[in-house]
Amino acid sequence: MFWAYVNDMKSWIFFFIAALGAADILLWLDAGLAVELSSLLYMNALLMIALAVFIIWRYRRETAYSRQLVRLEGEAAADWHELLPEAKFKRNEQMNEVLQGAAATMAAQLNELRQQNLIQGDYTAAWVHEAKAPLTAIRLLIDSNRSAPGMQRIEAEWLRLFLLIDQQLYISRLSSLEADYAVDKVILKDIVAPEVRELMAWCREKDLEIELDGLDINVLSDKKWGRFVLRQILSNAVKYSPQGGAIHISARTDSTGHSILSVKDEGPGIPEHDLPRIFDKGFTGGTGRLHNAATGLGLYLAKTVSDKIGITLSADSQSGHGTKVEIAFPLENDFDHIRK
Amino acid sequence: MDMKIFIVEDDQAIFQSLKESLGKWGMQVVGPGSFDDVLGSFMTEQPQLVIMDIQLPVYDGFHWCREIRAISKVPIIFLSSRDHPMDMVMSMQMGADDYVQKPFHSDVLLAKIQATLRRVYSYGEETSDVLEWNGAMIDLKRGIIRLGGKEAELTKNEFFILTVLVEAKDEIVSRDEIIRKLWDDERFVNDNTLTVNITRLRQKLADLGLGDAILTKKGLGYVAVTL
Repeated sequence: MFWAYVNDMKSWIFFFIAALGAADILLWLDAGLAVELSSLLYMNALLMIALAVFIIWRYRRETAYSRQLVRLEGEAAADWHELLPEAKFKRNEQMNEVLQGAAATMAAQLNELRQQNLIQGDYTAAWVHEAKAPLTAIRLLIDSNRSAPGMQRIEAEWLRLFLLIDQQLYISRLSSLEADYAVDKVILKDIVAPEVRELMAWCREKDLEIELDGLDINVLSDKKWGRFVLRQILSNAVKYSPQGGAIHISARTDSTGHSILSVKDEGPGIPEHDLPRIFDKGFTGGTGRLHNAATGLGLYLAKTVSDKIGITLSADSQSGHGTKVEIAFPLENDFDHIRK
Repeated sequence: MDMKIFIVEDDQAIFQSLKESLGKWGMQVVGPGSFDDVLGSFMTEQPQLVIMDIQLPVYDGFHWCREIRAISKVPIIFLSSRDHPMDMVMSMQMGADDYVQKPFHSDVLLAKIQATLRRVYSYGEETSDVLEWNGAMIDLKRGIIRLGGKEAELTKNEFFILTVLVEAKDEIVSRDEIIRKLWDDERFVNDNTLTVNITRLRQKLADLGLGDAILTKKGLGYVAVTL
C-alpha cells in the first residue's frame, strides 16, 4: 500500500528531487554565493529527511479513505453504499457520490429484474392454472369415451402434456421453495402409489408392471415436493423400460437409520463413465440420445429439489442391466440442521 | 332417491362433460343461470350436492360457498386447479366437504360425490358384504369364496378380478378395464400378470366346480357367466 502510494506520487517526488538538484547546481556554480560543501550536504540531507517525513504523513492522510474503502469491500455487506468512509478531500467526496450513484442505479435495476421475475413467476403460475381447464376437459372426454379407438394413445399423449405443464408449475416455484414446504411424517406408500397411478396411461402404453414392496414405513418429507422428486425418477424409469418390463420399487432402512426408497428398472442402464453426470443440467447421455424425449431436465430438477429438502439421491447401474436410483430420506435431526 | 347436483363451473367443456358422465349414473346436473346470482339459482334448484369451482367470473367460489353455507347445510365439493395447501385449508374452513384438484379423473370425482351423498343422505347403501354367484358365496369382507363347504384360497389380485367380473353381471369386461381397475386399487400389473392371474383363478374355481364360469371372449375380454 505504501509503495503503491510512493509510486502514485513519483512525479512529485521526482520534481522535488530535481528542484533540489537544480538548487544545488545553482548554489555550487554561482560565484556570488560561497557555500561550503558540508553545509550543502547538510541542507540536502535535511530536505530529504523532511521529504520522507512529509511523504509518510501525506501517505497516512491521503490513503485513509482508500484503505477504509478496501476494508469495506472485503466485508461486502448489502448496504455497503451507506457505509462509505468519510471523505477528507474533494476527490474522495466525488468518489463517494459516484459510488452511491452507481449503487442506486444497480439497486433500481436489480429491483426491476426482481419485479420482472416475480411477474414472470406469477404469469407462469396463472398460465399453468389456465392450462389446467382444457386439460381437465380433455381428461373428462377421454374418461367418457374410453372404448373409442386410439384412446389409449391419446391418453398417453395427454399424460405427457400434463406432466410437462405440471413440471413448469414446479419450476416456477423452485425459487420460493424454502417458503413453500412443510415436512411431515408420511407413509411412503402415500407418496409412491399416487405417483405410479398418475403415470398409468404411459405404463399401460408400454405394458409395464410396477412392483411395490415394503412401503408401509414412515418417512420425513414434504408430500408435494417428495412426490415431485419421485415423479422425475419414476418417469425416467418408465421412459427407459423395455416394452412389457417391470419396475421394482422397494424400501429399506440403512445402518444409519435413514429410510431409502429404491426404484429399479430393466432398461438399458447407464454406462459407468456417464453415471456421475446424470444429475447434471442438460445431461442426456448415450441412452438419452437414443430416446429423443430426454430433455436432461428431470433428474437435474429432482437433484435440485432434493438438495433443498434434505433428500439424497444416488444412482447405480451397469450397462445392459438396468438402473437403480436410491432416494434417501432425512432423519429428524437432519432437519433441525437444515432449518437452521 | 333422485339426486340433483348443482355444478358451478364457468368452463363449458368441463361442465358439459360432467353433466354427461354424472347423468350416466342417474344424477341430474344443473348449473347457475348466471354467475352474478349463483345463490338465487341455488335456492330455486334446491340441489342435494354442490360442486364449486374456485376461480369464477364476478365472485369466486369461496364467496358463494360462504353465502350458501349461511342458509344451507348442503354438501359442497370444491374443484380447483390451484394446489396450494392454503386453498384446501381455506375451502375446508368455509365449510366445504371435499376438495378435488384439476385435472381429475371422472372416476375420482364420482367416487367422492358418492361417498359424500352416502354420508349425508345414506344414498345407495344397499351394497352388501356378500355376493352370491352360481351357488357360491363370495365374502367381500374376508376375501374368500366358498361353495358347498369347500373354500378356494385366492390371492388378493385373483379375488379382486373375480369380484370385478361377478359385479359386471354377465357382461363382458375388457382386459384394459380390469387392469385399469387393478391400478385404481394400487395393484400395478401388466397384461402378462393379468393372464397369469386369470389362469390361476380359473384353476382354483375349477376345484369348486366352477371351472367354466369365467369365459374368454377373444379380443373383447372376460365374462363371468351364470351357469
